[in-house]
Amino acid sequence: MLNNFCDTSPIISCSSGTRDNVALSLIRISGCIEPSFFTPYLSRLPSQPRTQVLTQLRDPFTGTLLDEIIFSYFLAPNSFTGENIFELAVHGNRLNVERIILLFTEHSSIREALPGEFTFRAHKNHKLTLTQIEGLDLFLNAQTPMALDAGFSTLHGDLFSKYKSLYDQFLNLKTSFELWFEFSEDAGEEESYAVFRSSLFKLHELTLELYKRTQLYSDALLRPAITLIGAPNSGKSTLFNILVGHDRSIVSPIKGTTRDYVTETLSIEGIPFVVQDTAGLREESDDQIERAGIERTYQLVDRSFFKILLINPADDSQLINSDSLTYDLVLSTHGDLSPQHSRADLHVTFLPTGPIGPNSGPIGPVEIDEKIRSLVLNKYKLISSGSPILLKRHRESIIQMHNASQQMIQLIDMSNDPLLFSEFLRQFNSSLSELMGEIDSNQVLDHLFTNFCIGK
Amino acid sequence: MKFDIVIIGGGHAGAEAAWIASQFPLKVALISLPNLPLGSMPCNPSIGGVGKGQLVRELAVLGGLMPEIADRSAIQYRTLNESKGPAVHSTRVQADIYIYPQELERALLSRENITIIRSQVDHISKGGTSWKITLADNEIESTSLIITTGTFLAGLLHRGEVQSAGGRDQAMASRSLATLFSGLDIVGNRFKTGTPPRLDSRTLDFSKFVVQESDSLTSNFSLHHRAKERFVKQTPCYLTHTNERTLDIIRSSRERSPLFNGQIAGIGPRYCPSIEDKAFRYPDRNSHHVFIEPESLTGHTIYPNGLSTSLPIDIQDQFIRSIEGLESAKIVQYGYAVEYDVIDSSTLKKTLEHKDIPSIYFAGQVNGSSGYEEAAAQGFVAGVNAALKIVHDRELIFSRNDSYIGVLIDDLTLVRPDEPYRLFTARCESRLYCREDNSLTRISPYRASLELSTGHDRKLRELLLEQNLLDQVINSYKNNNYQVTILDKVRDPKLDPIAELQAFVNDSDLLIDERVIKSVALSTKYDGYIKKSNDAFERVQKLETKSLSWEELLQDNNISFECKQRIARFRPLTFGDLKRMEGIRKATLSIVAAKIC
Repeated sequence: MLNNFCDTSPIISCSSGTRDNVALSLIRISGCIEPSFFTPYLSRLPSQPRTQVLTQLRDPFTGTLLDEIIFSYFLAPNSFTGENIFELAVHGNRLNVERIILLFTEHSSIREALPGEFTFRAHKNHKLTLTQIEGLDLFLNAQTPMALDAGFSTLHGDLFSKYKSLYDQFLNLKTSFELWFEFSEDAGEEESYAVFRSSLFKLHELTLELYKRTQLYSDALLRPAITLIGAPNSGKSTLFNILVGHDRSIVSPIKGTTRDYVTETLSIEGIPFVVQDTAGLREESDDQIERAGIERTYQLVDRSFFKILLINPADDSQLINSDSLTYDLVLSTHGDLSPQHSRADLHVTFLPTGPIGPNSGPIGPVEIDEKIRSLVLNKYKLISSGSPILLKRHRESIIQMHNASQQMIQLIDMSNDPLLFSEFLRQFNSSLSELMGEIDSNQVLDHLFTNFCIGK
Repeated sequence: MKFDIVIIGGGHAGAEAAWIASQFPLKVALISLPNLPLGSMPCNPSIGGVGKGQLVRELAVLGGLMPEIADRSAIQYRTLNESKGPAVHSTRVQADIYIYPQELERALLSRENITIIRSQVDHISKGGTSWKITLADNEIESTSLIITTGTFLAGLLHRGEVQSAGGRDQAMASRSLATLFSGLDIVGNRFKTGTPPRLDSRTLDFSKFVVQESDSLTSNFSLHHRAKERFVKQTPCYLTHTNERTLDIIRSSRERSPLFNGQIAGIGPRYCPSIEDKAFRYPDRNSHHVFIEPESLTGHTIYPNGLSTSLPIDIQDQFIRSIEGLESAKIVQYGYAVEYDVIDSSTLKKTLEHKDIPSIYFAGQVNGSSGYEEAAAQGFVAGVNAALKIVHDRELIFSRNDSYIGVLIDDLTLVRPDEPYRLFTARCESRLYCREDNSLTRISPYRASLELSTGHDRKLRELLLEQNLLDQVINSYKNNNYQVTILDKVRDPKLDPIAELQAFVNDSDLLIDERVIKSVALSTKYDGYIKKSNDAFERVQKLETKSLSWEELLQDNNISFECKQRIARFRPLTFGDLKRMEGIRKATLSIVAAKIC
């Protein structure tokens, strides 16, 4: 990509994807070409930007009529990429789209865009920050409605404005720090300290709010998994089949039947969850493959969104050490135990463990299915209402900023040593710079002289 | 007559350049306008302050002149940032405007190899390998030339509607640079600065002011003076305030203000606004501090700090008399603004030598800086480098990582300032390390590299020995699990590190300078933080210090035309230089980073 930094030749691509034949496809061209470029191609042009016209697209070299399209354009810098953008809404047959793109790339300086190049240009022309691009990526590739919301929020919405206010507030803090440190004689020792103190607390509040949003299971939410854990033969596979509705797991009374883990997608109210049936957790196993499976189970469980532990009370050999794991749900299986059980008679008891309230009495398969679905959905809704921050890079920066701001809050009650403050300000700034760009001393001084009457 | 180094301009930059150059076996001449004292203080007669104090302390280790003279003429001492802990204490003194130039001239005259010439320079030309300087009635020659003409280049004074040519009140202007060097285009900008009216102390009502006594505990600048030695009588300063009436008078005179009616085109410093700036830019404020500062022990002039103005004199009379305690004040010299030419400082190397014209150096306000301390520091850099070039054919470059002088020179030569440049500590990336107290540790290697052996160098060696001794002694108490060591005490945030170490030294019967004790105590206290900050810094620094060839960058097809133009002008030598240059695109930085890694 580096070699393309200065390449400003116009680029073309089909923005709506080219995989299937669809009714409409959108072809976009971005770069330094003027609307008049299209005169030979189109029967008519819009009289001004941001206006659509229905027009005929012709190959000017052969005179062939290719398609009837909707055409519009946006002039730099008021466009997504910050360059001139031309949009052709064409009929979405795959061959048609390819033929139109070829028409432009063969006979002019327009070339096909590399993957992500439109976004790259938007970034280069300061239309999008890196943070916003991550949001765009999350938005476009979201697997769950939550990721969709989080993506848009990072791109333009609430989260991005939170980041912006964090940036502004940090600039305020840096400025008031300099005011107190260097200009307290001009601005008054106590007044400037009060300004510094209050901007520190404001920043801390903002940081804390974001920090809380990083602490919400974020990893597990991008592709939320429901994982079944339990000793061999505790009935995991049976429950798995109940949940996903067909015989995907091999169910048999022989312990250790599910050697690795199997997954299926389960849609609950349109949200795609992955259900994972794991290898049974047994302290010892001579079987190497099974041992590897058990190890993998622990890793899976760790990253899961919803963890269900199954216990067979009749099997006292399966007391497993679950200290290191916390479960969302613990089920006592084989509630009506008979030695020869089948999937139809998996009766369970909900044990009073995990965040969900106790529920007494054994219930049957249909109720199990409904009950678990509603528990999973509740947890999902509870967490997503806190708008978790899903992007790992953002979470890391926010956690570091939170640490620095916490150190400053502790420091301000102990002493007012400006050198230590300035060290934590530096740490905060370096994490913030990864999210929103650097704040340099000239910006701080500009802000200072604009907002405070400094100087004797 | 032939000299090795000729300095044009007898202000703080010129005097400092002459002083350091004269420590080498060289013939030095200092040319100054007739009838003007050397090293005079046409604005606020104070030396030091937050940031600026660092420069003076660094000069003290380098063997500079300003710290010696400031101590000898100080009529009031203040420690700024007193409440924020010893590590950020900043020293500032008020100097006597008569004693300072006297002491300075006496010092320069004591050097046999300095000739002081009182004359206006008519023009300068290059003759063979040397410079020809044509004076009013004479002509001299020199190998190197240092230009320290301050605000005198095409100076223009403003006082209301009245304009006059001059570098300051009652002094003629120098010829313009264009006249001095015909055919050389180096003027970069036109700046403006101003000064308040001076008042007759006998007409003020001191009973209405808040008194600020001189601080007897503030440490002297010079290492050759005992820390709390005082050379002249100390005098208090006073504090009063502007009020709504003062500001009303100013606000109703907008049409007659050269700053606001378009008469002044030059750019003034935002950190040192005139009272009309404050009145118009901050309409919500109804009161500002005014510091009443005596300019000398013998004279009767008062510098009312905070009232810089270029309003017409009748308005000055009116608004001055609206202030508490100044009701019947008599103005002995009206405030004024001065506009002057500054050169494009990005045409200078970090030695302050011109990039295209060898053996000519520029220092001080002519480079677009403001302040006596900034001027003196540049004078030192130009003077020492002019001397080193002749004697050893090498350079002395200050790093911004360990010195405020380095920050100052870096900023001036890499970012052409768009207002008079003042050094703020915010400009320094390693504030934790660059403190006033440890200037000996930070700066003595620079002095040692000059290979001089004067009394000053012996003094530095003495202090460094004491410092090493103390360091060793306190570190020998490491790894003691059974009792609280002196190291623990110094690092305890609840204790005063300096008092603890002082007590330890007293108990140990060691004889150690109190300034060394302070430095060792604070360095020990901040050690861990400095290491952490350095680690982070070094990661950045690895890339920053990578050298690059600006000629090669000009050939690179991936760098935009505008960036190339800037690269050709600033000629960066390292990646850090490139990064700090104004107007360099992030994309260019990425390309270069990828290239040199």
